[in-house]
Amino acid sequence: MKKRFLAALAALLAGSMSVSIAAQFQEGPPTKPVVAKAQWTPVKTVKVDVPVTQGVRSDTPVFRGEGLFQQHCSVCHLGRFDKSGQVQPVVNLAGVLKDASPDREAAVRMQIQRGSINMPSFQHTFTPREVEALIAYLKTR
Amino acid sequence: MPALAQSGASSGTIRGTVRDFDGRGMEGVIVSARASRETWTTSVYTDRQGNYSFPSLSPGQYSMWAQFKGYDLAKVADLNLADSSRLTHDLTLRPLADQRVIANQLAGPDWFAALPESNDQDRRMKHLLRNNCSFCHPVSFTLSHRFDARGWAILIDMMPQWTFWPNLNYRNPDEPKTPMWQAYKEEFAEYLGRVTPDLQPRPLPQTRGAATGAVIIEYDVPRQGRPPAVHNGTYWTEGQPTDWESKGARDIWIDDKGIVWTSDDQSMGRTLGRLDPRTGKWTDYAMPDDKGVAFATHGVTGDPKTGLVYQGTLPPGDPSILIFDPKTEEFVSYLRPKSIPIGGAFLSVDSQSNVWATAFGPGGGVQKLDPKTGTYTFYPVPYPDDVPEFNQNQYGMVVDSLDNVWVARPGAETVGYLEPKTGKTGNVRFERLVMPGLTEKDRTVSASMTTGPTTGPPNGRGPRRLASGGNYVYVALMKSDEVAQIDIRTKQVKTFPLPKGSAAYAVRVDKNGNVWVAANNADSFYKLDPRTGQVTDFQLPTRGTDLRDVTVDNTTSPPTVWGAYSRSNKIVRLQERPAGTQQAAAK
Repeated sequence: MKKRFLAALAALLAGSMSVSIAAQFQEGPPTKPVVAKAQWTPVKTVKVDVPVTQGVRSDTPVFRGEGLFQQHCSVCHLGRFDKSGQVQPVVNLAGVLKDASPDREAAVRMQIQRGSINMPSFQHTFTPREVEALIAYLKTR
Repeated sequence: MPALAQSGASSGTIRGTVRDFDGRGMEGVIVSARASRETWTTSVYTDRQGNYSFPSLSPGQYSMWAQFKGYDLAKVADLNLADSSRLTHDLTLRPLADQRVIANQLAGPDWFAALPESNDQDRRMKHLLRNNCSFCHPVSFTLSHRFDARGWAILIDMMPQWTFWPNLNYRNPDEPKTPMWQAYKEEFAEYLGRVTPDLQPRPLPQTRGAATGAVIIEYDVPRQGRPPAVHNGTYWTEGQPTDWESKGARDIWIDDKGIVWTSDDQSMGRTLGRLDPRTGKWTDYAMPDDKGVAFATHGVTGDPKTGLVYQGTLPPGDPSILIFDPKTEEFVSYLRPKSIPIGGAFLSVDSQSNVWATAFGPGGGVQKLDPKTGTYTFYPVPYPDDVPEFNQNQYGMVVDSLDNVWVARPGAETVGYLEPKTGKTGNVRFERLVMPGLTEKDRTVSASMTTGPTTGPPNGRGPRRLASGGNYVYVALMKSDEVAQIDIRTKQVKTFPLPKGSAAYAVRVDKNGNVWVAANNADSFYKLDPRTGQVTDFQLPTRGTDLRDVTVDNTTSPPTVWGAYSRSNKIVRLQERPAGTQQAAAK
């Protein structure tokens, strides 16, 4: 009885470490290869040594806000980069809070808080401190 | 090691102890150091007593920082490391109280563990999230967005309008919405809207034991026409980096001269990237299309016998195999004959220096290119009869030590098999997970909609990328967080569990028979010892890594493990050191 218990315990421990059988092999029909000779096609190569540089960091709300903007807003408001260069964003926010009136700033804060028909509400995403950083950054765009 | 170990140049070192506020040594803290004039960061872990010790570092002005989930960043600027000097610098870490800041520091498995699963519905949704979202965004990035149900529904509707491949139109309103996302849209929106606003992920255990001897070096990857990334996952409290700022290098291969080669599906002016780890020097090689835009590439591998580097190109144009000769620094290409199906994103080289690639399109199969003659051979590898055409898609492939070929088929939950010499074919069929609470919708979706590398019902296993090692082929099972081991002679299969929510993506076997796993939800390399099933977690110094490939340099002892952070845009190198290294250095 004790041996059986120990064997079961050993099997249990082994199972918890690793192994189970979860698949089986099934033979298929033989393959029918297709052979063809390719054409030689010389292609152009462009070589560029790219310098590696570091970005500039700071301990300001603007710097933190830029990071938040990239993390949460870039998909619609910064477009993206691809092989051909920068693709324009759906809604470009350049200048949105540059020298903006208090009413305009309040409207932008409301939009971030509540969202719109095409934009999610960010009220649960951003803390009050993060909203202030984001606004500080938007004022520089 | 950059520069020093190989050149014998002058060097110094830094060591010390990391303690908590009560004065206790902390194990598994990642301590990183970077010289102001260098383009890489070296990181080590603290041991059980809290001791850390860097390997030889070149003299210079260093900044140093320590990170541990749940604790605030500790940073030291302007450490002057003189030639042959041995600096000692102790650090104290302060616990963080702000749960939102702690959440920023966490990796995918930490977030995944916080998702509720106390009932069948929540468990279903948790698996659906991993199976349908993880393979474009690490789960740590997805869940750091805390929307209500309406917000999530907006995003789900918007996502299919962003085309997947570069070089294509950015926003395509005519793109059909992904049927499976649409089928689950309301459930996703309800679930994510319910759980994300107040989700409180906690740190899971961090790197411990013998693994803390490892040394990790991360190289910055530059991009033409772009400012250097600032928020690139280096400082965890800043949260997850984005595609906007820092997406870049994808797959990786290291040649026998120690040069690292990467493919790239994002960066301007780069079809193939080259890193010299001794100097950090980066070179882009572009094969321009007729508009002057560099071809995007997915896979990269090479042949030590010929020195040639192979890549798989992506759309636009038909995906195909691209050859690069490092001696002439030029691409060499063979135009694929029309009778050979498109293919090439995933590559493997056999013992005769033929290069093999996954073929695309229904029907299934693999193609072989003999680079000496330019001869292509396409080998159909049929699916099992009951796999519908819409689930016939293929992903990673590998040639095993007997020169037989294996190809992953995520939609069919199988791995296809070919013996080129005999013409035999077959399939290893994986059982779906047993999951109580599957719904009629799950059954309908499974029976009628495409399951593939980025979509699937809750209970799939999702074979993705493969590796060869001795008598076995290993398969990353991305949707069940497992690695499968297939005996290449008997076709017997074993599976090994990885941390939940890690989303195993790629595997590679080292000369000691250990299997290294890149998991794109986890900011970790996992080392699986298939003899014992033991999994060692090497947590990495960067967040949002989105690791999709791993390769091993077996010319070093112990082997050196390399990977590309596809999201944080760095190249990572990890090498184990004997246990006790830090303590010995502390004496």
